[in-house]
Amino acid sequence: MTILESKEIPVEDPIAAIELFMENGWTDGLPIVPPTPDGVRRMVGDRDPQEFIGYVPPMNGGATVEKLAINALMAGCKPEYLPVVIAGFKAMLTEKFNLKGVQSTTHMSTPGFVVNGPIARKLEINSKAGCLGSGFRANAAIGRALRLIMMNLGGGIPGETDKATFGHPGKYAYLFAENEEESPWEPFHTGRGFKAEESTITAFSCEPPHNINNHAESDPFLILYGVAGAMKGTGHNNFYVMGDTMVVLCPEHAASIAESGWKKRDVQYYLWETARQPLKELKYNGMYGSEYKKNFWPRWVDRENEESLAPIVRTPEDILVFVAGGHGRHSVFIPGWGTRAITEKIEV
Amino acid sequence: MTNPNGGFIVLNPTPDRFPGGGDLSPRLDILRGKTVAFLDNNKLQPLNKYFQRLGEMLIEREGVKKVRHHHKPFFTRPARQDILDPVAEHADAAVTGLGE
Repeated sequence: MTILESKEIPVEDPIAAIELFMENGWTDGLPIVPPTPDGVRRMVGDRDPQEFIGYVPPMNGGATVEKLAINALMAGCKPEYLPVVIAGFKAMLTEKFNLKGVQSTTHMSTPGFVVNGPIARKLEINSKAGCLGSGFRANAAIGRALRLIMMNLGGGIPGETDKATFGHPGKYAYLFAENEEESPWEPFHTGRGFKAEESTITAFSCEPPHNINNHAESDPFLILYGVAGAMKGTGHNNFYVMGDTMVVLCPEHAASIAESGWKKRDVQYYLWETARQPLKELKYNGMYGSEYKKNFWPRWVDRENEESLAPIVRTPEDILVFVAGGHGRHSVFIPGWGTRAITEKIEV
Repeated sequence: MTNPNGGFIVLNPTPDRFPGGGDLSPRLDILRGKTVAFLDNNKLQPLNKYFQRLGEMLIEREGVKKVRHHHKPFFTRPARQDILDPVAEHADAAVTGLGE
């Protein structure tokens, strides 16, 4: 029998367990599935429960497979979800992700996750209608598991170490899959050097999605002009600290754009060229106020000329383009916190 | 799992291990005559005078001998070791924070 090392806590019954976890602050505010030793063993499966994955900032709690499995079970995961949880967790631990900053910032951003590859279909991770909403177990449970790990192992406690002024609803769960079947372009992860038959999870610290409603146009310029318009809104971090930013096109918008011969690269270039703001607009509309020159703009932006246009991010490749969602002509813009999206292979 | 006493067993979801050397230093009894360091995250510098004013108050009101001001290169990123080492070497106590 698999030996588990976590402290056993006797309680009267499952309801008492739920209440105990509430009292101890070991949940996101919703009831958990009580992590019984048998349930955790099923979640761990053939893995070594004491395999060490990493320390989780800012509290720097040690994460073993056992601890990840406990939190995954609490979140409602099936055992077959655990490889996705582990890979998503590893993505957050990379230096460029800056999990310590993400966990403790006053900004509302939270890690959002996109799954690519065959595992998304196998686990029924929703990539279609309602994929950014409620109602789908794999999306909800895997996303919630990653949040519980951030809280219970990383100490990301709202109002304490998690200093977010508002937080956002994605802090309960923020995970969807790319709709590869209905995308006219190559899957996102193949653009990052993975094979189409491999599965990956991409972690990205970001705001909630902003809807872009365009039911009238089929011309790529006109569809994407509206997307760029949403991206040009000031106040989000990208114009000031760059990093990556994300656009998720719905299949109908993507199809219209692709029918005109546009590749994903064309979309990135058009958005990068169009989603710009003059420095005179950025000067008083963002995080630095009159200190607007303290930023990460490319060198070719003339800081002495207020008519100069700053791009939303440094390069077209920093605009991450996915295809997801169901019927209807709504795409979304998801501003970043100012850091990089990290893609990790899911080992199954 | 049912326990032998008829109850129910669950496992603690919080960590059992932390990085080595993570023990806290002994707390100071008094601040008088001590050196206190502030590690500023550099947000909105040079406009942000918060730590500077706190340092002045510690000298005026608590008899702190010296206040040292250190700065992170960029506010969202963890401080590098070469930033932290002088803080540990030259100060009896250090003040930092999360968020802002």
